[in-house]
Amino acid sequence: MLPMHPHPTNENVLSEQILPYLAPAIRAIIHRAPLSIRSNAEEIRLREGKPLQIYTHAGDHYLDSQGIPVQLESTGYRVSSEEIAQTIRLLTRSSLYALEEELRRGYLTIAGGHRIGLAGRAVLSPEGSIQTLKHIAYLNIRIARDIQGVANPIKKYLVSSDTRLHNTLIISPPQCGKTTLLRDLARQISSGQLHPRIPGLKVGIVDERSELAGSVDGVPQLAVGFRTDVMDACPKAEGMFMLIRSMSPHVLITDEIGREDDRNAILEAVHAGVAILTSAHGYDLAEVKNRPVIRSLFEQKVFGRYLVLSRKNGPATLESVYDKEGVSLFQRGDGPG
Amino acid sequence: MIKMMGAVLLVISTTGFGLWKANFYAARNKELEDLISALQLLETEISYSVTPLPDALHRIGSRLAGRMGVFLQNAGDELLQGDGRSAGQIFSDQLERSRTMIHLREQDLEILRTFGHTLGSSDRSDQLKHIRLANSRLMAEAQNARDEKERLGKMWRYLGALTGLAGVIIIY
Repeated sequence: MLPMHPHPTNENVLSEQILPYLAPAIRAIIHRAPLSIRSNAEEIRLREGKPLQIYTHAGDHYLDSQGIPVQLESTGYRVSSEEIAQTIRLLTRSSLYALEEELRRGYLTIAGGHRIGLAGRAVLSPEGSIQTLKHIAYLNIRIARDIQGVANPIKKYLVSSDTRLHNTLIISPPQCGKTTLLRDLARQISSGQLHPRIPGLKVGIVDERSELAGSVDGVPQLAVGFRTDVMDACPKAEGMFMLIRSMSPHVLITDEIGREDDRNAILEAVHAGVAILTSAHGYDLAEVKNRPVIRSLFEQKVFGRYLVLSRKNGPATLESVYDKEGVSLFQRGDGPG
Repeated sequence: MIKMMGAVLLVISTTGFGLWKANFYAARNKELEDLISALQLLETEISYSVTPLPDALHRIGSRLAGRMGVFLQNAGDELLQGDGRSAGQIFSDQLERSRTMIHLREQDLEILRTFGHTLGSSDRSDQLKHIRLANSRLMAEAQNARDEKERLGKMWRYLGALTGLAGVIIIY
């Protein structure tokens, strides 16, 4: 299904888009790490006083001071508080004050669409909402993967016999590639590559967490197609209403639905004749069906297809496909591939 | 004739020396005043337009004539280079390098270093507090520098010219 060997340019992505933002000492260590780790890196974890850690889809590794992957924590390179501070300076261009909104949300997006998760001490406003983060001691650098063509194996399930797009819900646990898949679908639908008989359609993306398009200053950093409009950092429900009203999309794409408002916006979109592609956290249809919002959408037969993903054979492995009644159309065998 | 030329040269050189000494006081005052207006601009950049620090420093530096403008521009450029140094460290390094070209005293540099240390590493309201604190300290120094410029600067200008004249009188 998916190329088991990731994109050849992934190593360049790491060295050109990620490493310049890391503290020089850590930059040097990762630079010395074996190519297999560098080109498969999905997450780089910096925790104050803890060993430097890299996650690949095959598992996690600590790196020692020479960049050699080790399994023992005690031999890993300890990240100092100064290195965290340097990294934050580089990430924020020494302008923490310009990122108040990002700090409130707990992450920031850098050029290339990569997400940096931040954790530290939360400072609350008098009303009790989170005002900012102080003493940031944990950084999670998630490397965005722009795998074009990742949606190819699932395309055939999205198009109905009368060449219309099914409203589709992608169900997947975290880190299984649902965002990557949605992004590639957006690109293919927008550029007319989804189906030979479907021309390029207008796509609206509501990207509440700046993950789908990886926008920096409102400009998508990842390929989402040329007929695509992106509402960045906008609450999903409101963003969907706004796009329906203003941009007349044929297809709306959004990530991780779950709130009451999301359901209302989806119903509104469907009534307006807009196709919906969205995703939800979960392991199976039966499980997500227990959630009130998704159950009511299921009972109203809003979605024509449910795709369940896992990472058994690498990211975005298609586990099963269900139709609007919940009848299984496809089940992955347990054998390889 | 030669005596005459010697006398003229003596007056010119001592007057020049006096003016050069006096200029020290005027230059320090000018640099402090430039810094004060730079910090006021920085306050606007941070509180209203939320400009990232390297851009803000560069922009303000380009608007200021003289040494302080160059200093701020260089600091902005170095921040962009991405070796993870803080604004405080960059300020210190820059000041150390241009030590001979600027007229600020140690206590002025100390204000800049302390200020640089806090720059860019906290939220907006905190940044504004630090800018205002640094600004009021610089204003106190500027007042001091202005007094010195008035008193000592005037003294050196007169002293130079008068010493030359006194020399001429002694020669004749």
